Amino acid sequence: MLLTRAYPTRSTPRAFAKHAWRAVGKIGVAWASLLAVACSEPEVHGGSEAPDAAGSSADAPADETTSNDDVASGRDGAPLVEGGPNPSDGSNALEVIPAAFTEENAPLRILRSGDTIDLLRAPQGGHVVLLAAQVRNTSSTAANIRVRMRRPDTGFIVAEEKRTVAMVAVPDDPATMQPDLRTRSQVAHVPLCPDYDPIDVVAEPLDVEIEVTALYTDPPAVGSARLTLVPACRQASPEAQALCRCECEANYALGKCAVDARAP
Amino acid sequence: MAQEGRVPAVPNGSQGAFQSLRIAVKRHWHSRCSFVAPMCHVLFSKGYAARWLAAGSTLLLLSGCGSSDPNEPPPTDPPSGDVMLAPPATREQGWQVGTSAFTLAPAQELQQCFFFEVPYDEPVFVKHIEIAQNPGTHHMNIFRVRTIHELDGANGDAVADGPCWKPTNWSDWPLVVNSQNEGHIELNLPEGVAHRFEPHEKIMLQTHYVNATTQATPGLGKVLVNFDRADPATVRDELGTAFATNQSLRICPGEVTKTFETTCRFAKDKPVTIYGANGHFHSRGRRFTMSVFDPAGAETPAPFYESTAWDEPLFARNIGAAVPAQGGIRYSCEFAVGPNDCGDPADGCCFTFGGKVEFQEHCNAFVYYYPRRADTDVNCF
Repeated sequence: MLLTRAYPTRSTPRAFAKHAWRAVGKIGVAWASLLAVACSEPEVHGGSEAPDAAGSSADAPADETTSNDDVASGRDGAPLVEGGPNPSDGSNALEVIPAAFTEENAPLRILRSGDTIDLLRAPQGGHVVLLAAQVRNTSSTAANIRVRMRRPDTGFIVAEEKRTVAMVAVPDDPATMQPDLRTRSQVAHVPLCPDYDPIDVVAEPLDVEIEVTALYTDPPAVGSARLTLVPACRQASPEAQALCRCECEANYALGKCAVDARAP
Repeated sequence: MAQEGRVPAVPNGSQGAFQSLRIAVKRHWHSRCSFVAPMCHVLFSKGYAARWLAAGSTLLLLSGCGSSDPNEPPPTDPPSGDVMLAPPATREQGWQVGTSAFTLAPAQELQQCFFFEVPYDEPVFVKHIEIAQNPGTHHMNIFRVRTIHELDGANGDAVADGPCWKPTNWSDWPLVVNSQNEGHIELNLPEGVAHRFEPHEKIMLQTHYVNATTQATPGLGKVLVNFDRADPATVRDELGTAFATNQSLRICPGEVTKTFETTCRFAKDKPVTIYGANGHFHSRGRRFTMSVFDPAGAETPAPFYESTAWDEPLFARNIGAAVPAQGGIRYSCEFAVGPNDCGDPADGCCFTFGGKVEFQEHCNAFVYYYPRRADTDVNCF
């Protein structure tokens, strides 16, 4: 028989605290930088090269893919890339190129600030956005990807997700790594819907931070990028799109959207 | 191929008024992709009905309630592990739902969904819940029935396997209570806090038993749940629930430090307090943590919940963690898969999202908080 007992609060492990403190510092620097410049201006931190973003479109459909070169034009909308050596801890810097998962075994869609990001139905319910990144300056075959989505005006975190993924070299570009795209489980699933908040999810821009930590490297290697994305329901099926729009509409309550089998 | 089985009646209560429910269960031995199945039928034995009538109330029979002699000592579980739980003594004190005892074949995972109706004509509040489960249980969840897809039943009906495995069938059903622990679990809600139930509200008790490699059911499966009522005049806050599931998991042989972490926000426009929580994963799970998530801040506080046991995970109660307005939890699951373990042979032996203990994985969080937001409980995906 298992007896009831309250669980004691435990302290965060030292390593985790160190990493978290470092991440907080990076976030603070990043936000300060973000406020200092216009979002549409490409900016480089820590010596990283400004990516070139030619060819990407904010209105590109979900299944439209873009080549890696698209991110390297430096035109408006290029993501804000965090990276470069960190003299305080000696860590390596990763160059992170934000990207969206499209489908299994298909190229990632390289993202630019202002792009639309598709809300996709998740297996058990709700709608998520599938985000990932291409990463330079690492050859690690495993990484943690954390995606955090905020309201642009307040910095309020709407949702975030982190998962450990397997990394592989980008085809025809061995210097760049990306998640193993044989399965969507290797990219972040950011749960945006159901939307219990008083603000809609669809068509409301969100600031997105994608942070990649290469695993099994010494010293640790971390990098991040920021951009603004606009969630959208673009399902081909009218029923699926209606469900997406309903679940992603403000003030969701359980049972609001589904069509009951008992309905006439 | 469908096979019809019968769940034997269970004497529910040790004081003479047996709650006996004979459930004819159609067990749907479908493939994992087949969910079309007729609902099952519940038959009440005339003999047992007579006992119920003698005990006082047909309503009690329909709802799963019984009566007992409060002067008798509480029942103790026999050495075999077969749990006993006396129902509330009177209808005014509460009611009981449960399953009859059932058997599992070797290598079997059995998931059953039992439907009940809250047996009252007016809203009722519950301050204490006790759950008793025989060894071999993997989980027991009770939900409030909302949108009907392929899973439904009348009061007393049960559905075994088939649509009871398909999570989209209950994706918008609010959580009432859950337990993953054999033996007894009790929820004594804080003073002034109670679970609210609507008149004749339909609820579904889902039980998952395993008699296979990772878990075994040495005897019969059985679940009993008591709901003990509170005086409405004493209720200050309603209990709210949040059920969160991280999807599209995938852990492959040789991966030993794989982590999945996400958030679920359930506080609306005012702060809430977390009363209880438990995490759920399968045998590849190594560590489950939950911490308060403040969407206005970037820092993660120390976890208020941590469990490293997958088969008997901690059900933390009286946590008292304060969640700011619009906040919730950040929850994380760490997994490890041995190099020779195999989940799905067609997918590189990886373990992916799903309810089957033997070859799939979960990362689910169950949270109980107060005050409940006025418009809804919360499910996060």
